Amino acid sequence: MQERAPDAVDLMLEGRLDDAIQEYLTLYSEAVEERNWQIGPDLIAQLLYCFALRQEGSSPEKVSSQVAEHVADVLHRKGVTPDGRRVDDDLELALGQVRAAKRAAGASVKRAQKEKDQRWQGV
Amino acid sequence: MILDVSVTEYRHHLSPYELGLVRDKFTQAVLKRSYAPQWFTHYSRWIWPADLNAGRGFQWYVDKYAEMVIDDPWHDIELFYSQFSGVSGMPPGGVGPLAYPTRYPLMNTSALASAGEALAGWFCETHYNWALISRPRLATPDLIFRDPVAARWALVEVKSTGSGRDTQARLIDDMIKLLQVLAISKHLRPRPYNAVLIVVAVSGSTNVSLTSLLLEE
Repeated sequence: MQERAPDAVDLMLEGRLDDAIQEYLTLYSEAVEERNWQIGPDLIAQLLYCFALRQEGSSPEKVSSQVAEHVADVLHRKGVTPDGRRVDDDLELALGQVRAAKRAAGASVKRAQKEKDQRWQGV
Repeated sequence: MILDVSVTEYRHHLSPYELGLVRDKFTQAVLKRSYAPQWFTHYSRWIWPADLNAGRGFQWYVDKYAEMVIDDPWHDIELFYSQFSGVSGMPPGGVGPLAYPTRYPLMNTSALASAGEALAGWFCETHYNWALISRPRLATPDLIFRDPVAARWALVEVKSTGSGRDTQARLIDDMIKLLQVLAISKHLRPRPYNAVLIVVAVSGSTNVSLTSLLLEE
């Protein structure tokens, strides 16, 4: 198998969350710089997960202000100026993705029970 | 265990006009009939020896790429084909001390889907050398990669099946859905993306084919 550098998700799985955060912040600042708004929410969502995993008992929703601060700081240091409220939009969209994933996780448990019930009823 | 995965890879440069043809069912019919067959003109075939025990093991790729939380899905696939062959009068391979399966088994579809996603992701990172950025849940695409050399993003959709039939027709139908995502996001991104559809067909515990259709904008 070919040796390769770990990607951001490898870093998350290895528990190297600080490294993963740096990787995602770099990718996000590059995305903002080149006006790539398609990928922005996905990168911010990954940052929300990384920050939440780093703090025991936290959740992606609870760390959104921290993520916003770090993103603003990195963009400022790199001299990247986003258009209007695009970064706020990305954060809002990322939080929407995270909440949808949370609802889907809960629904997957209910769906398993529903399938068993339907078999019992012969539906 | 080493899987000899039979790989077929198609590559095509997608024109803006082809992307525009995903607009509605009438334009899609034109795309399917007159343009999509050209997606399969340039291809290469090879055998990929995927060693499930090498490095961090197959479970690493399952944890990384599968949508569901699942442990050792390939074991479930092996068990299914083992029991199926046993009950079908084929060479023995059932369970228990006498290796008798007790009934016709049902495939664990979650295991099949997860194994397919793991193989597809593993293929993208080893063959294309892409880096996984995100694995969205219950959304299209399944996987978002970045090519670190070309600085190009790739949206990857994975389909797992137990049959290798009608792969080309399936690739076209599913690719059109993925292209719709690219088309509607055209004004949110300044650079061209790659759209990739990967079909993993598992028709036996050692009989796997992987078909990749890569369209470059």
